[in-house]
Amino acid sequence: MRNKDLSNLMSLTKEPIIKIQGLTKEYYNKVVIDNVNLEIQDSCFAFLGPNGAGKTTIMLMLLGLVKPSNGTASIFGTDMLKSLGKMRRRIGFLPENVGFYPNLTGRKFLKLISGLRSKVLGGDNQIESYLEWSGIDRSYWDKTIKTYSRGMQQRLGIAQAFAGDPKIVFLDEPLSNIDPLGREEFIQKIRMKREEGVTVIISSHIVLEIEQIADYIAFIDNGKIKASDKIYNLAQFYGFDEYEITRIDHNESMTLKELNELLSTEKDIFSDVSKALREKIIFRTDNPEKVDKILLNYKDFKFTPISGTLNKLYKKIIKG
Amino acid sequence: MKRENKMKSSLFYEKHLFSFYLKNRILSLKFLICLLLLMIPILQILNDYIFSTNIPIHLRLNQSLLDRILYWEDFIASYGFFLIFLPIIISVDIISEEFSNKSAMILYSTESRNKILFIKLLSLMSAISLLTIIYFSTFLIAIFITTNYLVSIDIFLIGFLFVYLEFIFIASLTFMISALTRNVISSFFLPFLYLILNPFLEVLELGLLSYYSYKMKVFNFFRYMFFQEIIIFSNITAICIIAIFGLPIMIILITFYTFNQFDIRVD
Repeated sequence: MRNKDLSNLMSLTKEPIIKIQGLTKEYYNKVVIDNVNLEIQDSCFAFLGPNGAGKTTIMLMLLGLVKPSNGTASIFGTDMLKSLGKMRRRIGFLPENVGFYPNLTGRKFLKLISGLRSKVLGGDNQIESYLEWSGIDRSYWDKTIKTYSRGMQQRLGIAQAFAGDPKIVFLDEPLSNIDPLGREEFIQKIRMKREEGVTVIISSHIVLEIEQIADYIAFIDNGKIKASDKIYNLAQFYGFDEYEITRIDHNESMTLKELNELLSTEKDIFSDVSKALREKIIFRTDNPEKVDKILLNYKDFKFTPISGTLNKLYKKIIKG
Repeated sequence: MKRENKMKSSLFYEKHLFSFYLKNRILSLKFLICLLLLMIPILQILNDYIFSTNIPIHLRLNQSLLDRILYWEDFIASYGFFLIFLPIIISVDIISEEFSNKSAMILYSTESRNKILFIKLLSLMSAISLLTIIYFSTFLIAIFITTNYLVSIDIFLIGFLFVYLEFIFIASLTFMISALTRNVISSFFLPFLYLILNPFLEVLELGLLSYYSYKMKVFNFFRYMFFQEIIIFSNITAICIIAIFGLPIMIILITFYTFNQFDIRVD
């Protein structure tokens, strides 16, 4: 299996927000995380791998909840095991199998959590905006959490992770227990949070979710990082050259057709004829980095390898 | 002014979490049950000494009898044993609660464990203090209304300190077990078992492990001092006094150290 070091491959040279060096975790002499080195920049970063690969353990070590057997993990340059609250309060977290105080109402729980992350107690309007954002029916806002369905609890869990305006949010399997329409809704909401400048770290074993949200991916298996980089760089590295541009927002007046024409005028982009469909542009390129740079100026559009590529990458990298 | 503002904002987290935990302790069914249980000894004493006979109170009670028999022997010594379970009830889920309802990972990702433990401990001690103050002030008021007597202040304060320190010891023991096991059931039964077995530890020549044996030595020292005016202060008395003050502190330090060694993971 070919390994790629993220620190060498990340195309942008911004200072990393998260730095992981030689991170190792052993349980009863069994190595579950094996010498992981990563640098994560301000982006939407996803850990992708099968169940038990070590995704959650890495997250918990980053959050200072699990002690590494070796190595260090720092966020904004601060070791999370030594960091005091000031740093921790800039971080939101949704654990897998999230739990709550069952006798608190959704409103009171969000008030508690937002108070723990910010220096002022969120007013009713602010708390209601979190509840509104979560998509939980208004009639449940003042009911105790024990009366919530699993899906509603998951929605509340995601909302609490973003409550109090954290700078980094860790989401462990965020869209489990949520119905397909709800998933679409949250993918859009997480994208918007990303646009507001929140760094999002996601762990999942569901490829489709990650494909729609993440900018960077680390494939992890048996506690080892198998490959990590921008999705299009990985696709290119592993020999996939089909990409697509989709519209994800409608803030600008430029149409997909116009964008297609703009890209056509650039040299070294399309290596074949591009197809401008109603919802997306499909094309082949050997220069995805250039496309990505151009699209930095057009926030309404998302550039990714063609749908299904990540699944093929997953099979190639994880299953060999 | 600037410094004051900084101070206010930097303590916001602590105040917010403390008030949440204190409300959780005090506005709970457990606290209400404890309050009701506390009233039982007071009602029992009132019944035994005041309501069960028609003989006028001034013929049956004087200051000395109030201090020695009613307060020291009955209220402090006899009913003390009955009340030792109250701190367990109050503190049983102080740490294990979040591990049972799976909210622990969210909570402990927001602050250092030491700070969260400290805030929890502070809220627990506040609840225990409130409970003890209510217990003693109710007794004092009830006795004053029915007899027109007040317990002598020095005897009252030492008795108060005795019960309070015992409550604190039991609460810190439960706090430790709650932190180590992170399980509500064992947090209840292990301290309960220890307290039940406590009087027998001395018989089994395990007196060093028995809080009860330390307590009784200090208790007897004060009994002789107050009521027979004999002061027998030996090295053993000194060690026992240090033990009843020092054991809760030691238990709390062990709890903080050990809790920091765990991985906080709720699957």
